Amino acid sequence: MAARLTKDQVKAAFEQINNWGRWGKEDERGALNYITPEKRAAAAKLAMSGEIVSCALPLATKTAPDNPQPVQHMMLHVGAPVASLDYFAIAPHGYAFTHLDALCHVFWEGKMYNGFSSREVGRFGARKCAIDVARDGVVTRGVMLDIPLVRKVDFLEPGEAIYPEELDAAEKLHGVRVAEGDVLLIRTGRHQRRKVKGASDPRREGLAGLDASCLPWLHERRIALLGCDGVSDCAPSHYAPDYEMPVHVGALVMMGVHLLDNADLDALATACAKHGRYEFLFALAPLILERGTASPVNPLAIL
Amino acid sequence: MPRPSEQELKGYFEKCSNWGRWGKDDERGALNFITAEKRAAAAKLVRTGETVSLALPLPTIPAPDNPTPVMHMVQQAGYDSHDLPLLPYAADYFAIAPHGLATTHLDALCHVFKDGKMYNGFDASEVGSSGARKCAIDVARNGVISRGVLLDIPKLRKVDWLENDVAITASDLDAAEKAHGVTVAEGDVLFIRTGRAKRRKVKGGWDALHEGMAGLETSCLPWLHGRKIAVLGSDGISDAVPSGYDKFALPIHVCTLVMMGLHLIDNADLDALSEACARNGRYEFQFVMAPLILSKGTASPVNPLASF
Repeated sequence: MAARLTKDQVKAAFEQINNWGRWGKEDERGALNYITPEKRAAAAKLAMSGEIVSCALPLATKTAPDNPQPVQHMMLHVGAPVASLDYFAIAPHGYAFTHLDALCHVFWEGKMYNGFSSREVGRFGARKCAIDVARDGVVTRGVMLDIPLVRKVDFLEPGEAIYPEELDAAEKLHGVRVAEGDVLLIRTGRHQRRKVKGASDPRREGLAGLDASCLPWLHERRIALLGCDGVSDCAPSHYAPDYEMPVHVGALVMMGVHLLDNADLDALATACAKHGRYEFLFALAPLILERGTASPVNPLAIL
Repeated sequence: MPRPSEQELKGYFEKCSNWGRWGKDDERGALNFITAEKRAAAAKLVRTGETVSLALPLPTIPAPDNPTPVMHMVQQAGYDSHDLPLLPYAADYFAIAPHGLATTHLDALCHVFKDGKMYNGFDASEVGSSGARKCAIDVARNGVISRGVLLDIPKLRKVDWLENDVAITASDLDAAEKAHGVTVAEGDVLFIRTGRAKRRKVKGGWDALHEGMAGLETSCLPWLHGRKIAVLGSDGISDAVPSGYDKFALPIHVCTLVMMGLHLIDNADLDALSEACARNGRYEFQFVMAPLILSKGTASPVNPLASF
């Protein structure tokens, strides 16, 4: 098993992976800039069979240990004679909803991606790096690395960390190499575990995810977006209290990589195994909330 | 040609019925026209890799056509986040009633009723106080991917937008197909542009339910049914308002959602798409849309994408 980093090494990794200024000092899109029209056109060729898989959980309207603030779904008008109308409300962050984090979601030393001040998020929302920077959607090649398959287990246990050597091993097993402009999805088997063992509170009981030592690997591959069936970070953090969510900070703040949290990758795992390939056309279209820090999403993989 | 009479309209409702076409338990309606082969063929329409959003920003500001704006509230701002115990962060919350005239949304088939029934004969009482038990928006949980086609009526008529009293006829649709060099076919997602979004950008929002809005005349219904489209979208709400019928305020909504099982995208922004189609010299593209999976919902806000 690979070694954890020292705290100094986490700090050094943050510096090593810094993309501030890479796309100009005014840039708010970060690593989405890696996705070119050519990349999208090439990705469309992966939709050979036309099979679609959703990577989203249903919007959870009931409380659970991992869902203290469920979606509120209320009817405004019900049934006959003419129409039915409804209303819903959502706080997309946390551990229950499949959502895309905007780059303004977390801060490090008072800054968000590209050095913008945390003060740019005020009481009316984010003036910089809001979720609407992705208004034209994220369409590119998707790659999934299925870690439980590498480990020959059904799911990882909370607190188990994934190291870069395992990302290499997964690539080798799947016959795929993560490349510039890809959306990378890391499966931990979290929802499979939830089905078998029931819901648990990630804040108290932890969650499997990437060790901070994966950050230079992710940076080197120039991924456009990182997604996970957990929240990418391993919890509890091995680097607490100095670094509570080093992957969130490293990805969102340092690299400008948007994060897709709480995806459901179980159906995608089945589809990838069936098709014998772990690359696909990936499409995600966040809602255009102009000052929002996140959007609930329903990401699609087309094989 | 005069507008079809109420008697003729009732005839269309019968003629255009798809009830039972995909079995008596079907809740997906015309989405069934989209096959895996259709999706794979649509992917081949992506050549330059240009992607265009067909959504308006979520409307958070009240307007004559937006009496119930999206509520966007910040739970944690950035400026006071440095005191947080674990990790400085910002987070927010929003609330939305997607129907109406302001939000780009996909109507579920349970949204409207005719004679107490929704699509496929399910009873209106299937929508209760906890939501829809039949034909909810989650029937499209795996997204809608197909060929998209735009018929750009203002472009055809060489105007910036259609005025509020204009109703588009079936012969307009034929003429647009001819002008654009495209034929609407089985499984397509069809967009009808009226220029409403552009008019709104220039002149501001208006209360369309009282002042009117351009849309399709009921003579288009047999045309839409015959082409076997999978989804219908518009920058308006597809219906021409007012409809001109005493008993049917929104006859296109009723005939498409209830009789044909055809999901509707209301209040899209088709201006950027219009420019992209003109620039690329083609009115067909890969269409991708992924509604939120609200298991008992009657609609979802959406951000539909067109790729060239």
